[in-house]
This record gives sequence, C-alpha cells and structure tokens, in this order.
Amino acid sequence: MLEIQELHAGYGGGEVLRGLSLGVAHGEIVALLGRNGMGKTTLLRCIMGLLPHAAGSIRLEGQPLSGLDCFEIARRGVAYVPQGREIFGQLTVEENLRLAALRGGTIETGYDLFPGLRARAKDPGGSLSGGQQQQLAIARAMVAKPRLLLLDEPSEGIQPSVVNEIADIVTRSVRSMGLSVLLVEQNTDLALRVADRAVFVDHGVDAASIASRAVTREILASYMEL
Amino acid sequence: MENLSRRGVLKGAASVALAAALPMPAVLGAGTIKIGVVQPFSGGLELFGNQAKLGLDLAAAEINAAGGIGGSTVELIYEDDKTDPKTAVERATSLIRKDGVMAISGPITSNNRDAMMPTMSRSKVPLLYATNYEGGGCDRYLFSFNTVPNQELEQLIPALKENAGDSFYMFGADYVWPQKMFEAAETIVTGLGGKSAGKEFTPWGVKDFAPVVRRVKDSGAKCLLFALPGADGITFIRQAEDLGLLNDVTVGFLGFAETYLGAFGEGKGQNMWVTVPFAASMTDPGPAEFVAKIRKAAGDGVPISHYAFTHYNSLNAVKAALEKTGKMDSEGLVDGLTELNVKTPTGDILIGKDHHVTMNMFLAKTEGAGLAVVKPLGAIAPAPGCA
Amino acid sequence: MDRILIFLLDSSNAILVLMLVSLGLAVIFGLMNVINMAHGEFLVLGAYGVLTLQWAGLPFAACLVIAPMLVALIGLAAEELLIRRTYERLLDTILATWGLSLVLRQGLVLIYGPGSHAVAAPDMGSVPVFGEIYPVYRLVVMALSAAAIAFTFWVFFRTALGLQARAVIANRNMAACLGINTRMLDRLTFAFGAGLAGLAGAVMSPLISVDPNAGLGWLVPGFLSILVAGLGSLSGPIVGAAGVGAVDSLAAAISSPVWAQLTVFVAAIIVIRFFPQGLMALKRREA
Repeated sequence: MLEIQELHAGYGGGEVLRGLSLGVAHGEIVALLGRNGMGKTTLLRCIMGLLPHAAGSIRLEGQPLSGLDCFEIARRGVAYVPQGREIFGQLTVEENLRLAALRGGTIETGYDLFPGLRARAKDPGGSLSGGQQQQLAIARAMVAKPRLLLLDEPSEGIQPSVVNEIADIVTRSVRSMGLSVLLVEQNTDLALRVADRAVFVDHGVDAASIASRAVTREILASYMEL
Repeated sequence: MENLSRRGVLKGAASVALAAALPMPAVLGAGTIKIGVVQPFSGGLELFGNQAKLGLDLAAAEINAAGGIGGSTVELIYEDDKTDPKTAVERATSLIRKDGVMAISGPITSNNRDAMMPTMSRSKVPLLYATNYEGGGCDRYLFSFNTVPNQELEQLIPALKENAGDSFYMFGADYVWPQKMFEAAETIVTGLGGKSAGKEFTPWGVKDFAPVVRRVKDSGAKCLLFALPGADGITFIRQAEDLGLLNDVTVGFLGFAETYLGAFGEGKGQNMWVTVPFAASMTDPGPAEFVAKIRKAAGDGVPISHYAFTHYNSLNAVKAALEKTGKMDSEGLVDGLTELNVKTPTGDILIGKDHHVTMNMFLAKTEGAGLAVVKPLGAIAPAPGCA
Repeated sequence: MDRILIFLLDSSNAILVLMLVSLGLAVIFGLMNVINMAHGEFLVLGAYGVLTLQWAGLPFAACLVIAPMLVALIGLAAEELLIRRTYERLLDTILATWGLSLVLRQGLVLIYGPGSHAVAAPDMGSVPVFGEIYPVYRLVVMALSAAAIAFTFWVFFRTALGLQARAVIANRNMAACLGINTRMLDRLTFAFGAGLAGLAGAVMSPLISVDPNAGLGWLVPGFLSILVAGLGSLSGPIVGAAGVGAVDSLAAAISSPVWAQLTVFVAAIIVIRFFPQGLMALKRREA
C-alpha cells in the first residue's frame, strides 16, 4: 500500500536519503532498523510531507504523495507519532484527541486503546508522565482512523515494563484493524518482536529487507554496530 | 496634491512673453526669481502644506500675469519636508546650493523652522515663515507673516471674559507654541482681573481625553483656552462635546484654521471663539475676491484658511520688497522687506523692524458649518519678544 | 465615591478598546509570528469604513457590523498577497507590515484627503450614572468591546476552529500532521485579528478624529500591552491592556496626560526589565 522508489532527500546541502526504496503491504508492520543518522527519521518526515524530497517517488495506494502538503497527506490516512511525541502540552488530553477526531473518527477510539487516559481527560497533556504522553501520542494517531501509521522511536525514554505493555496493546490493535505500520525503533528486540519484516537502512539506502524471524545476530551486528 | 510632483514647478508662460516686451531698469536682470518652498506634503501636516500652496500658487500666478517682478518671472520650487526637521534642512540646503533660490517659504512646525534657521542664516537666504507661532524668532534672515501669541490673545481673552466668564482653564499640546501661548495668556488674564483655573498639557497621540475633560469640568472654569492643533484637537473637542463639557465652558480655540471645520461633525463644535487675520466667510470685497480666485483655481470644495492668506501675502511682500530696493538678490530682499507696507485682501500689513507683521485681526466664532466674524479688531501689532 | 465610580467607568472605556486592539495583535503574532505594524491602519480602516458606509446612507448600527468585516477582508487580501511571503522571518514581517501601513495610510490620503473627517455620532442621548450625565454611546462602546473580547475567547476556547488555531500556535508541524490546514488557519486568523482592529476603529469612530494617522495612538500602547504581559497566551494582551490602560488613566486622572504617558513607559520598562518574559510568564511559573 506504500511504495517508495529511489528517494533522495536531505537538509540544506547534505543529502541524507540517497536513493532509498521501500514497500509496505496492507496490514504489514515494517521495522526500519539501522544506526543513528542513517536517514530513518528523515524518511518518515518525507512520507509525512514535512520534508520535501529532491527525487524519487512516494505512493500511497498507488496515488503519488509528492508535492502534497502535510495536512493533505494526513487526510489521506497517514498518521504520525513523531520522535519526542510532540503532544500539545498546553492542551488537555481530550483536546489533543479531539484535534485528531475533527475529520471523522471519535475520541473514544483513543480512550478504548488506553483507558488510563480517560481519567486524565481534563489535564493538560504536558502534565502526563512520559509513558502516558506516549500513550496519548499513539491514541491521537489512532483516533484519526489512519491507513498507515508512522511510529518514530516510540519506546524512547519510557520504562521497559511500560514499553512492553504499550507495544502489546498497539500491536493487537493494529493487527485487528489491519493497519500498515512503519516503525523506527532503537530497541531491536522490541522491533523484531512486533514487526513482520525488517528493513535495514545504511547511509541513506535500503541495504536489506529480511523477515523478522530470519534476522540473526550476525545480520544485526553487521548493520547496527559501528 | 494633484498638481504636485516632487519638483512641481510653476511658470506663467504668458508673463515671460510680457516681460520680454517691456523695457526694464538696468539693475533688474531678466529671467527668473526662484523661491524655494519647503512645506509638509506628507507625514501628517500635509493639510497645512496644501493650504500654503494654495496661497503661494495664486500669488505667483498673479505676479507673473502682471509682468513678474521687474521683468523676472517668479518660479516656485516645491519640496516636501515630510513634516520632519531633518528632511526640511536637507531640502533647504539643496534648494540653496543646487537651485540658488533667493528665499525659502515655509515650513509649518517650529521644530522644522528651528532646524532650518542655522542653514538660512549661514547661507544668508531669508526664510519667509507664514505660520502662527510662539514668537522669539528674531534673525536677519527670518520673516514672520502670521501671528504671534499676543495678536491672537489680546482681544480674544477680554471677549471670552465678557461673554462667558472670568475663569480660564488652559489645555494644550506639550510643546513650545502652547507653552508660550499660555504664558502670554496668563499675563493677560491676570491683567484683566480674571482667574486661571488650571493649566495642563498633553503629549501627541492620546486617544482618551476623559480624565482631562473631567478635570476641566471640576475646575469650574467658564472658558477653555485650547491649543491642541491637528487631529488630536479634533478628538478632544469631540469627546469634550460627548461628555457634556462644551455646555459648561466656552472654548477659545487658539491656532484655529478653517481646515478644522467639518471635522467636528454636523452641528458639533459650535460657538468656539477665535481671533484670526482672515476668515473665508468674510464678505468684504477684498477677502471675498481672494476666496473666489482660489476657488476658481483649486475647486469649490477646498477649505481656505488664514494659512493660504498669509502665504499669499508673503510672496506679494517679496514682489513689493524687490521693487522697492531694485536689488534682485537675497540681501536686497531682506533690506526691502524690513519696514515694508504690503497690500493684502484685508488691508495693509506692516512688516516691522523685527520682521514680524502688524495685521488687521478679526474676532470670530464657529457657527453652522463655518466661521462667523463677530467683529473686526483693527490692526494689532506683534509682540514677538525680540530684545 | 461617585467620582471614583465615574473614573472607573471612563477608564473602562479606554481599557476595553485597548484590549480589543492588543488582542488582535496578539492573535496575529501568536499564530503566525507576525509583528503587525499595520494594525493601527486596520483600526483606522474600520473608522473610514463606518464613514464611507454612513455616506452611502447606511444606519450607524449596520456600519458597525459591516466595517469590521470589510477590514477583515482587507486583512485576508494582505495576508494572501504580502504577509504569507514573509512567514518565519520575523524581521521581514516587521518590514513588510510597516510597508503595508505606509501604503494603506497613503491610500487613505489619496482617496479621502489628508484631513480629519467626522463620523456622525449616533444620537443615543445620555443617562444619569453615579451622579453624572453619561453618554449612552460610551456605554455601548464598552458593551460591544466586552462582547467582542468574549466572542474571541469563545471562538478560541470553545470551537473546533479555535482548538485548531491553538494547536497551530503550539506546534505548527504537528498540527499539520493531524490534517489541520495551517494555511487556511493563517488566513482566517489574520483576517480575524484585522477584523478586531477594524471593530475597535469602528466603535471609536464617532469619538475621534478620523484621519489617516489616527492609528499610531493605539498601536504603541497596544504593543506595550502585549510586551508587558508576554506573548504566550490570549489572556496576555487582556492583562497587559488592563495594566497599561489602568496606569495611563490613573496617572492622567491624578496629574496630566504628559505624566500619564511617562508613567506608562517607565512602568513598562520596569516590568520588562524584571520580567523579560512578561507578567503572564510569572504567573505560569508559580502555577
């Protein structure tokens, strides 16, 4: 459902993506793995339309996304949980969710996913703990009823016990809804546990695409260690 | 602004032909007499710049149509000082150096005048200043053709005292003209046995005058001597009227000009007393003809105030002065202007030794949509405060 | 006692109008990071709008409603043609809007002439209030200003549009990622801010000289208000305008307008010196 071909993009003069190609099938969870600075976050920002790409194409369900504004891409069913969560700290939990529910969808989706948020509905998003903020960011993305979910470092800065719980909830929900997911995650164990397939990114290109179960320690070591 | 380019140059082509045909005294050179005009045509006081232009244009056209001055055509070179002192000095310098003007007419504000004067004195080029001001401008190269405080106040205060009451509140803008005006006013009020009920000033740009209006009301004053020119003055009068102050006090409007009329709203701003050297509503043949000529040139809708009148006089004085001395240069002009009698639409004016003018003045008040003359006050000599 | 009440009434009038002006400024700055130097001219356009509509024979009440809408439309056009090209370059927004203010002012001079015009005051009479005869229209000005302020808060805190605007203020990119058309919100917000200024000019038009330069007298205290209170929130300009307006009115009532202006500036400098983030930031820190 998502096809990326020969994507080139970067910031200022420096090129970060150098001809990356990638596909995500319907209902597939793909983990993007690779060392820091290899272009994983850049790729998500390109898909979302936050960063223009210099060459190559991005297609969603066969429709090109190139040149569309971020909000148009969002309205075509792409939801983004950015690194650092970027919830609206001064808005209440409920307002955060309502923003995502403005174009169809209901905030109940979010509360059903993480019932703990309901009790904090009237609190400002900034007052939540790190784990709860991550729950809110994911809930906000799910409320918008996306077809494709982009997750950037969802486990960053969250206690391990909470991470697994969140991961299980999200995986279950995503599977039941048949969502496609592109996941960037430093925690490779976690990533490989939830993903169907891993795509290793190295110096701005897709170096390998391997089913999660087939990823060995040696493969990991060759792409992940310096 | 319609006929004014950056260098709006006025020439009477007919008068050039005339001048060529006439025999001329040897000392008078043919050609043109250049008079620079540094007035605000933007930056806030363009209304006054435009009034000055009405008078100057008419005078130049008349002088040139009648053969110029000793055969030379008068050429006015307009410059916009943007109501800004620095620009005024730049424009004056350029007019003197590049254009070689014999004299400069202008400006409006005291700030600009004070800024320009050192340049004028140094270059020995006279400044023809035709705006009412605070006095004290005493220089060989400065001539004032409008009023100084005593000329406005001497008869206005007694008239207010007689018609409204003997306690005076003074309110004006916080700069030198209102301050000097009120100094002179206090002397006159005390001299007449009247009371000063209070005096205060305001900075420019104030939009809410309620506190001042309340204070004037509370003072129990019967007369308000008012010296806040321009748009702020209009705002004050509108709010004073709205809050009922104008029922309690009679306003003596200092520095009034017909350009204010219409800005108070229909039926508003009535019964404000003024002393002016000229009013567009005068029915005597002289002023009536003056008004008709300006209307013919500039259209029926234009307000015509004493600014048009005094600037008109200033250029006619140049003609009279040059013809008196026969010396067609700046020094000749200065010598000629001193102690000169000049004919004007309201009678002769006399330029004194101190370069200020004795003029016929008129007591008037706002009535309907105009200024109604209450009575002519005769000639009032200036007390410009030169040592 | 009555004197104090009358003073409060007089100053409320000035303060409420100042609030409208600074609220418009803050809305535009908050959403778009545009320092709108043409805000004073938008206000003046509101007054000229009333003047023109009155000439066209419309009743005053209709003028009051239509004039701010016209100013909002002008704001919309200005945003589309000029302002949007300067986003994210704060200094350029100042230059661009300053240029716009010159164009608008000169445009007014060309169309209406440099002189003052009078908007005919609606004849609403006076009522006795606290032992004074108080003009009814002044009470109307206060009511309208208060209503417009309340409406603004309602829009921003009780509607979906306002929620989206607040999201854009907080995090423009993330708001876009949620499908919010930030461009559309920029347009609407700029028009809304301009409309608030237009309303301030429209309601004040019968009480002031309507001339091309009338805006400056509000722009300066308007900016002072948002500087004093800080730029972080919508209540900032309300608090700031209340502070600036109250100090000004009080000093003017006790001494004179000259001292009032001086006092306001000195007070503002002291506040900014000790609370560079503004008074509202102080409150947030304590909360």
